[in-house]
Amino acid sequence: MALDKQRPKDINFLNKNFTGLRGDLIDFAKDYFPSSYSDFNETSPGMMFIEMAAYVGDILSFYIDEQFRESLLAYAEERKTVFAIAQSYGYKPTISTPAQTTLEVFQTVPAAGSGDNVTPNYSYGYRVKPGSVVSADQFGKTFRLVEEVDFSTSGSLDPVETSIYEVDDSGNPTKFLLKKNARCVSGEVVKETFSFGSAKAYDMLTLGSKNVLEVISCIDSDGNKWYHVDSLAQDLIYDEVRNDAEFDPNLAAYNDTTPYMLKLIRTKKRFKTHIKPDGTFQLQFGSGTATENDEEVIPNPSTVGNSNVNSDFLNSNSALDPANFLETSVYGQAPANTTLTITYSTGGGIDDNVPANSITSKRSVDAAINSAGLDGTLRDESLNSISVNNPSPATGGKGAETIKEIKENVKQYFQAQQRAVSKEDYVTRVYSMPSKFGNISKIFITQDDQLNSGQGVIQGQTISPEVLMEKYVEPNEPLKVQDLEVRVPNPMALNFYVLGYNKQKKLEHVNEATKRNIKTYLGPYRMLTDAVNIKDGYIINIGVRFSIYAKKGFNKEEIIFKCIQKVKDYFNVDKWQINQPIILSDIAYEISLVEGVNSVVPPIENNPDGSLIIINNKFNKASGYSGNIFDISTAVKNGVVYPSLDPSIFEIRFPDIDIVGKCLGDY
Amino acid sequence: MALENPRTTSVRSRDKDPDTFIGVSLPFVHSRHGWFKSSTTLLKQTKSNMKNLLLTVKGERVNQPELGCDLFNILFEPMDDKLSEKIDSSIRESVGLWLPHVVLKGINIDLQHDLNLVNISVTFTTRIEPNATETITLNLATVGE
Repeated sequence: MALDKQRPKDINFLNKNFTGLRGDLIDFAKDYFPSSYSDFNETSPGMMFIEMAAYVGDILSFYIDEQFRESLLAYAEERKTVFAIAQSYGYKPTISTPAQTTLEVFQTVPAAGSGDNVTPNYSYGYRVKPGSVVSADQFGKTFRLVEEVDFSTSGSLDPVETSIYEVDDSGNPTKFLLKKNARCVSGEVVKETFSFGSAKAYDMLTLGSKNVLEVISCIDSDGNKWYHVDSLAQDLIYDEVRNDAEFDPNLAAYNDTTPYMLKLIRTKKRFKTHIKPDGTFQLQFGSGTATENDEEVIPNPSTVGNSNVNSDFLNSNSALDPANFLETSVYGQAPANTTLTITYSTGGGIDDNVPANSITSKRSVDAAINSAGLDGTLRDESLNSISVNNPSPATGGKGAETIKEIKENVKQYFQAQQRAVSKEDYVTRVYSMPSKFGNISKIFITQDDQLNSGQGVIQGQTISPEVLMEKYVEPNEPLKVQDLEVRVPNPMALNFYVLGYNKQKKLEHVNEATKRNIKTYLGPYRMLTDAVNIKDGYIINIGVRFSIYAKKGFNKEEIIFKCIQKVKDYFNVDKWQINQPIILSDIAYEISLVEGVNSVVPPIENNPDGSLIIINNKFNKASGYSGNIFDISTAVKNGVVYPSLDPSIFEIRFPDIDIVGKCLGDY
Repeated sequence: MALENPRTTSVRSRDKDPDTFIGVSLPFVHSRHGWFKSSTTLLKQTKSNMKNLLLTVKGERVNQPELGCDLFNILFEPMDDKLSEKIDSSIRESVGLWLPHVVLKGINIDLQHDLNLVNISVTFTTRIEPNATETITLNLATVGE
């Protein structure tokens, strides 16, 4: 019997529900307490106890299942768990989404010059700062500019439209109206202050308002800016500075098209945010509570263990305590003995979707100007003239994300990882750079695979003419141009061929300031091993010739005009990408669709191949073309004009003169 | 005197063995054989079970919503001629369903209109020992207090 007592009891751990546990308990009682208990009728008081135990087991199993299910994003159902999991993946669920629209911002400036040379005096152009508040009074909704409107500059992606606003008695303009577009979002701007005493690691504060859309700024009492980061481990932050001579005298030359320079700064003053399902918004700061610099708090070789430098380190005040690491600012600094002023926006929701032409009131416009040498009255007049309107309705405002939406968005967010890995990642990332850092209209990415004409290195070997002849040229064959095109592949680098627009929306090379901004912008996203070379894409300017026969009874000039318009549309620079070939039959087809065109025929002049559409290279730099010479005739294969081997794009520079169409007759 | 294999022993043999227990009896009182006093014969245990069944309202027991008797619901019915019949049928229905080994010998229902009191006494036996009877008495005016 003693042996029996020592033997472990046979317990079934598999059952989880009431019926299973009840059955197991009955079996257990039958096996181990046959003399003490044998009444298993449901009405018996003993059975009541057994069933209560089974019930408790069932409830416990339910909660274990429930907790496990709630720990998995795909199955979680409780809002608070979905919020917690989403934020652990780095995704911030939205409690409320603001409406947004493009706002037309107007300002009048006095005229400069006289006679035929009257132009707007852009010196009176104000810089309306982001954060300026406007409102749709009729609906009681406020909106905030999220982009700067700088009336003193104009670029192809951010052009200023001018029109005559006022004329004098002799009809000469005295004032011009400037118009620019800027994005604005809905939401009330709230300012709140929080005082901090002694530093506390991972200190948190809760904002007073709910439905917080965005933390606009966080400034301490010394005027230092605290930055919003995705996680406290992130110490590199983008910051922008005006592209002026103070920043870089060389790059400042490009500040008309690249008004801002992007720079990465390393900061300890940072915070992350946390949203609760009830709309409560929290800010959490870092762990750095030490008053000294990190270098003084953590051990370094000069203070620890290096007897050559410090023979008395054990008796010194050196930082030997490993717990000192916990006080460093690796995860950011904890605010201490300061007051933080936090500016944030709240609101959002479906009510913010106000109709067109309703955002017309200025609430508080923050505008700046370089007033040196300007007339005070005119300056004030210009400031007061700033007005706004939304030509299109505000859209996008909606309430909180549903559980389902959050789950789907988290999956998508987690997969993207905010890393540039594929070619498309890089392209999307570069295109998403804000235009104030320079405009990028075309980008093409290849592996660094440069042409080398004999002076390159392949696997450590210098290519001399002898090596070239021996390795790449067939014996007894002469050296050809293509033999010289030895490629040197570099798997560790990417070549970005970029092009931008000038003010007339013609393709042009991107300036150095923009290139530097691209490099900075890609910095945190690119892979460690991806070196990035930013180069100029090649612009091949072309002209197009075609001939048609019209249908009888149609106005030939009108038909030709429409055909040229079709070709213009086909070559609209917005639709073209670097390395895109021209398919001649597509152009002929587009022309044939014009009403009144009977047939598209090969042009008669200078058309030895009898091609339906003739493409010719326009390269005269003095006439405003790119200067790149490209032999089109050798690039045509089976009715397709292929671009150059080097990344290049076709462009009709001056459509009004570069597209020539002829109507040869009608039938 | 303990039975050699209590699990397979017949009910009659268990009834005769004073050291073998059937189940927990009502009311719950402390016993020298265990935490609760247990009954040693089927008939005594059945009495506890009967009491437990008749005093349980349907829906009261977790995961056994049909276990119990309608006596408590009938308590609020008008005290008319049909009341006795309703009490009788509810007792027979629940005993027939949950205690099939019980044979009801008689159900005596005494309605005291002046006191708003119903005295019920149920006399029963088991199929295994038909000659031995037991009686339980329920006083429905005080049973809920």
